[in-house]
Amino acid sequence: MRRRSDAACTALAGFVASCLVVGQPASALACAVCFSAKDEANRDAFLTMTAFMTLLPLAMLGGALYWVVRRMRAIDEQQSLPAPGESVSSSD
Amino acid sequence: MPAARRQQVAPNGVIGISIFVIAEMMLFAGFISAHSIVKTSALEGWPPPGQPRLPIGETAINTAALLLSGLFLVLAHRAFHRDAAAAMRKLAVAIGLGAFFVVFQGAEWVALLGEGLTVTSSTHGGFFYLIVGTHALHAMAALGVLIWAFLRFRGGRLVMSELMTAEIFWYFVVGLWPILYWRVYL
Repeated sequence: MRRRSDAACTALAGFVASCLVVGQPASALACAVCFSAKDEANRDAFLTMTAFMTLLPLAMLGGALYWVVRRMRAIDEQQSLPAPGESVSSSD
Repeated sequence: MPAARRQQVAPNGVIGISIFVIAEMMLFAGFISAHSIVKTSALEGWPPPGQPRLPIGETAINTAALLLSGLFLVLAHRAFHRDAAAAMRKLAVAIGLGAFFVVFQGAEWVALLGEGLTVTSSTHGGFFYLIVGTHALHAMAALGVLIWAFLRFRGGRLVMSELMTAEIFWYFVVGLWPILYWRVYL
């Protein structure tokens, strides 16, 4: 019985918190970088730099991953090569 | 049967310095991003009136010296196994050109401070010293690593993985500078 009332309280608190978040959109805009761009160049700078900051880490991680995969393949190929003088078809 | 030991993908130094470089690239990306937005939102134009203009021509020469330094390091890498003496000479030239860049930057700063461009004189000055200064710190640190590599080379103790670690750091400093020159000076 006590557990059911705790769950109801939690649900009510969640509902009230959700209502506050949804009902206060003006407060959500009050961050330091939320202001309208001055002109075309300023707007372009915002867009370009947003794309730059978003894509740069992805490009770096992608590049690193590509390099590691290539390097591992090269190592695998190197290790699978028969040693000089060793027969490739030896089965015993 | 014991599992076959897998060969390491890259030396520890190379992996470590690569992670460091990736982190530092994000730091500079943040600087460039903030600078670009502040530059385009400046009400009185950029650079602000009354503030000294940055020495574009002189810094272009300095940029060329830094790029040349990177080129000599590539040549030193190629000659490492073939001709150790030639590799050491090329490494020394790369260090010399790098030192020239750092000293020239210092002289440029002294001149700009004399003309009234300080960290607090304007956002232009603040950004200039923050971005170029952070790069200069990296250049000095990387130069120190190159000198350390050179001393080990001279003592016959330098191995390729150590040279590669120093190289990656220096290539970062060299590769980043033209971007900073384009964004901050031009």
